[in-house]
Amino acid sequence: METGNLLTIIGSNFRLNVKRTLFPAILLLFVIPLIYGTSSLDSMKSADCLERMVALIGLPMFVPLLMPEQGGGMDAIVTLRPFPYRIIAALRITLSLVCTAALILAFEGYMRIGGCTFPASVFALRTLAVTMTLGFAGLLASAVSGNTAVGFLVSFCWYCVLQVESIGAVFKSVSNGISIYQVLLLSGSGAAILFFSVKSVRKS
Amino acid sequence: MMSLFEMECKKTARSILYWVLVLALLSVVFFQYDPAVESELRRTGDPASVFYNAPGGNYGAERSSVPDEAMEQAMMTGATKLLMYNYRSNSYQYYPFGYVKEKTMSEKEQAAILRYLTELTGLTEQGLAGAADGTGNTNIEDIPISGDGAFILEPGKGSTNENGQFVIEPEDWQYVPNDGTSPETPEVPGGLSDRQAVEDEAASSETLPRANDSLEIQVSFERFKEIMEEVDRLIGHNSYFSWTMLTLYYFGNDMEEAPVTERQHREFYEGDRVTGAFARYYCDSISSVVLFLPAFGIVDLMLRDKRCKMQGLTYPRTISSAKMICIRYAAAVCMAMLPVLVLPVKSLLVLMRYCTVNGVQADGLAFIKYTLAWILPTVLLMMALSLLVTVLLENHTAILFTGLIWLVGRPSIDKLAGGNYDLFDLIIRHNTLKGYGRMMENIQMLAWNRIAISLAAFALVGLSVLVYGRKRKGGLIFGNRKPAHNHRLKLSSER
Repeated sequence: METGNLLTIIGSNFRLNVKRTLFPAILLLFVIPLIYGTSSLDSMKSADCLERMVALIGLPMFVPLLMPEQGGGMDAIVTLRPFPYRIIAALRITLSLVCTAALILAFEGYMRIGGCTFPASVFALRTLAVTMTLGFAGLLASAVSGNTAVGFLVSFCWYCVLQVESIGAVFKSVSNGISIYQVLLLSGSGAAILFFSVKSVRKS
Repeated sequence: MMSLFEMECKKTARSILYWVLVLALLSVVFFQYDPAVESELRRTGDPASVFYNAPGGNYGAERSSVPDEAMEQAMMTGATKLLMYNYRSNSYQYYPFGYVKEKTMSEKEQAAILRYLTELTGLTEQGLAGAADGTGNTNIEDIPISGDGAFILEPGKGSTNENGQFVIEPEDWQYVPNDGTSPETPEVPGGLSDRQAVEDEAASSETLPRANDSLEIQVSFERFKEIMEEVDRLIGHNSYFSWTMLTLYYFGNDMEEAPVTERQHREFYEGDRVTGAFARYYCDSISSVVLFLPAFGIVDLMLRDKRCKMQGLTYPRTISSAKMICIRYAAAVCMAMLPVLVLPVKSLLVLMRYCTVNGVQADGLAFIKYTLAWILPTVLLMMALSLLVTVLLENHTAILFTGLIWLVGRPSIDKLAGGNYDLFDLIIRHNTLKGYGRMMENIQMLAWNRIAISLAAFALVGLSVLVYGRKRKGGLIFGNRKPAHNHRLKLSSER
């Protein structure tokens, strides 16, 4: 593939999803300091803020990625295209990943300016893992059901389940580190998303 | 109209979103509510159980609505110590939205706090900062409640409750002084303590004074209350120094495990008639779920037309916008309330059977009454909000919008025990089987709250009808999008 074509694909996919992913995520990050308090937090409380609040950006950043093709009548158009749709899905996930990492780093910078003390780079990676877990859960549900609202609902329910101490401890990556189960879950769900992404278009 | 209503109900029932809502409600009932009911029924002989019938009428001592001197002293001492600790570390916690926020005061505000502390304790700035006794401990990780030590939890302490959750009782904490002496008998760390522990603490502080532990409060209780009000205003809404939080922690509350009093016993059997208390607790359990999940149903229902590209067919129909929107809204609300009404039936039957066996009169309609009065207005409002946003923007923004409302709209700690209602509370909490009297004392505000929420919901539905009507006529187009039917027209029903 020529570089120009690749850049065109990247640009058009970014423009397609920026309003429904980046804008709500940025809005959410602006709301977090109002309700949670992000100044002068120690390492433990910073971890709690990152995995309970910042991780929520996983919902707008990942869940609606397949929505443009879930409208009625798109299946024929997508199927007839020579360029594999799975690669488009992987590209969108990668773009969202990069933007999510940037948002997390920006918010951590804001927390550090506010006097919080925590290992920024380590927590950034762990927060990204938690965010991806939340987002991938919803994205997988969206891909399987062909309905983005189902994805949001599943992500939200997953978030509520993680608040239960006994269950959520394994996935509290920022406080407890990234476990092997989380890595397996992310890999598995990522592969499943790509597999079902084509089926979600056909289902719509 | 009925066939359209039935059709919308069937569409809702076929949606996977609806069944996820049902599953979420089922999970809450199965894991939280039902175990609580069964646990309460299993311990009817326990003096702390609401079912307890004391032989000879010997119930727990009634907590006086007017606190006695010991309780006031404990509150003043405990609150002042906490304020001193917060002042040293310049870190003050408060709960504006149910999540803890920490505030760092400016120099001017710290100076004001210092003035109040000096007035409360009679100590100088040096004494308050801990420099005189060489402590000045500002480590946030330790929580010095009294003296210069900290409460620690040793491995092996704590226990698991019936729901499988790890819980730490006050007596599991061990106080370790900072001066190297051996650990002492654990005190209750000023949290949700029972009255006896508070009295013991007040008594022990007189008979066993520790170094750097004696704190003489120099002001009257009335002046203390005024100072705390000022401090709370400086910190923010619902700090530990607000009157509501102070009474919650130091004067006891219904959520703690204490022997039932005669008044609570009477309220449970005569006021609540058994099932009322459990109906309230059920509504409390599901309140968080109904604050957000019903929004998904109405969003999906309204976006189906757009997803299936049916707007070109539905817009020109002769049915009025009001009928269309109201029927869809009514169908979504009815389907959302259906599992809410059905799920507690099992516990209702269990409770009714218990009452029949024990010759107690129960209220068979309690669950219906509480669900319709407490839960339905919240469902109406959240669905109306989602309806309006979806009709206006024709995308999933309503989900993120109601998600934000769920984040900020959950009540704070002072409302958990119930009885503390405000006009615009989105959900009503009552995290205890007691407290019927407290609810009845504030029933007017509760009623106004539910009426206000319901009226707001209907107003939003009216607005949705207007917006939908304009859209059908080709108005309210955002960006370069064309209207669904590609031309402006006047509907036959509106000529």
